[in-house]
Amino acid sequence: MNIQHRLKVRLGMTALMLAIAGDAWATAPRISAQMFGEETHADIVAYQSAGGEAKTKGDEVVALELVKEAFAAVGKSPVVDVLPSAQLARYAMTNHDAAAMIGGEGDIPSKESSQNPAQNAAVVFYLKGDAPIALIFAREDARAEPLRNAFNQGLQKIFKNGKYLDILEKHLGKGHVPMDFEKRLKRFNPNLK
Amino acid sequence: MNKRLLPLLLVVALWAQGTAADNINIVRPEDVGLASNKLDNVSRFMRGYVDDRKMAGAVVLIARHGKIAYFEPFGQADVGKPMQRDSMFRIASMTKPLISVAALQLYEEGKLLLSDPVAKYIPEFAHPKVLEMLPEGSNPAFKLVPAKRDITVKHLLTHTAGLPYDFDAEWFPKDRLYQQMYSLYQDAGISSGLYETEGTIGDMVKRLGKLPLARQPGEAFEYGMAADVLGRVVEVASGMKLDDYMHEHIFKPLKMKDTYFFIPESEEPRLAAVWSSDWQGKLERVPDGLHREGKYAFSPSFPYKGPKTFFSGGCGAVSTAYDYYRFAQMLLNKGELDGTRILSRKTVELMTTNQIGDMAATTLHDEGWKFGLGVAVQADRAHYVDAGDVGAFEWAGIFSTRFSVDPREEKITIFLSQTTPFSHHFELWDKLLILSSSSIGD
Repeated sequence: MNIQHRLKVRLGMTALMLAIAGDAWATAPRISAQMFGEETHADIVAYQSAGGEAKTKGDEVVALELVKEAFAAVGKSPVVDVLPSAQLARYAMTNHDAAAMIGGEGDIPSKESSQNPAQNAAVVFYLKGDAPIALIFAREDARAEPLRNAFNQGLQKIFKNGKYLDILEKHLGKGHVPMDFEKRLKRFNPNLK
Repeated sequence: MNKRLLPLLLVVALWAQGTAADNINIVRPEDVGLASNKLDNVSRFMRGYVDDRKMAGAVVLIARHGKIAYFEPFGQADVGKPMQRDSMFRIASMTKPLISVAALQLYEEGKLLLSDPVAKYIPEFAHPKVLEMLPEGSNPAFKLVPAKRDITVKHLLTHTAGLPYDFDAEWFPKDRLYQQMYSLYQDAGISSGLYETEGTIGDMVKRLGKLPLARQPGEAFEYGMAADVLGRVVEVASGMKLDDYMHEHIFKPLKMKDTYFFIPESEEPRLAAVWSSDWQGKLERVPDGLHREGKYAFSPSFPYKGPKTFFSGGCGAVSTAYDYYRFAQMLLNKGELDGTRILSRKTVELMTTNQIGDMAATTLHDEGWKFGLGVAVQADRAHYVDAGDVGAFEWAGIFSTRFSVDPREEKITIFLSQTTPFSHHFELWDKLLILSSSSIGD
């Protein structure tokens, strides 16, 4: 082995040792996914107004409970994330981070556009005063259609078995649910039996 | 009791009451290497601002070598009420260094690490997203990208967490990112703490944690809501409400007896009013309640009205010049005052050295200033040439309050007024600090 070759071998060995040493110096990540759990992606997003009137917040709580109960009635428990901003909820749905959102009047597509399969579909399930609250489904999202079917079925179930009214009475007080509530709701959602 | 002694006792009692607040040792300026005739310039300067009705009043305190050499009130605190040495002020963002010291005490006790992710204390901050604006006309106007790293306690202390204030939208009206952040903050009810706020800091910070950040954590100096989040971290790590923690661990040991989040009713008359000034002689007392200057909102009554449950670590404190002097002197003494140690020397050194690398602390200065942990630190004299020394540290409050600690000269300068808007503050402070520095006579 000549000197040049020996030198090359030594240089190679040194580079290899440095590389190994470099790896040994690298520390484990201080913050790992395991620390906080993997990020859970919501199936449904909702938003809660901050600093709004207690009455408005009450409606938001009722709406959330109705949605959860409707899915529970058909054995489903989609992940629901309540965001502090309506803009973020809308973004989550249009960006397909979530397959549906609980939204109010401004979020619900018009009757004409909701019949268009290219548009979002919405199922009205509650009234805030006279204003409809709906579960609005993202278009072109594989999760949306099964969610919509499950929600429709579940909503029918809790409407029929009295759970829907129980939730309303729990929040509004027994005997405080407006007499014409059901009639007005059905105007927005004629499928409810 | 001898009736003839009664008037004499009354006079003595009244005198004692009048001097209780003045029971502060003020030395001859020359005893600490300051020149009296130069300090007279400070008085002339301040009186000029009051006479020109640019501001209603102020208190200025200058100390050197651990002794107060200049402590003067100017003008009026409120309509018909002269400013007093012990007048109280909304110190606003000068609350931030107080909260930073609280966090560093917990760091010294092993209750938190600077490298700890904030999500360890406030789970809503896990998996943060960063807001990126899309070209004008896009719908939606923004996209969210995952943060490259989690927000740490150090990011909060150095304002590199990507958490701006809502009123940045007012200061930078053409910046679409700030406009979008303002809109999201409004949606989520994020309070700057400068007005009466419902709920607790814990409630608000949870909502803030679910909003996107304005910058990638650790990549930009973005002054704003970080100290409010830090206040909540202090609550979680200590297991105490922020006001209780601050009282027990900082205000009480430092004998800062006039520093509060919410001022007791008995002390309300001492609180100076907030004045709106156009800097041209039009000076108006701002009434209680919410006051809006575009997207900047504040309420002068936040320290004494409302639910009093929201302890803003960013700007909630009320204090006096003397109390804040005691805090600043503790930092100048490397963590100790009158035999009471608040922080270790090593931690104060850490706090007052650059922690933001190549970034610049641009809130109060363009260049030449860095940021330590809760305070800005002067890095050179090339950019900020008017006054001060390399290593001097400081911070300010939005109602025109400021403090500066110059370790090299062992000098502290404190200026407290209650004037809005803040933009007028810069020239006044720069000149005042020059006068303070120029009074060094040794």
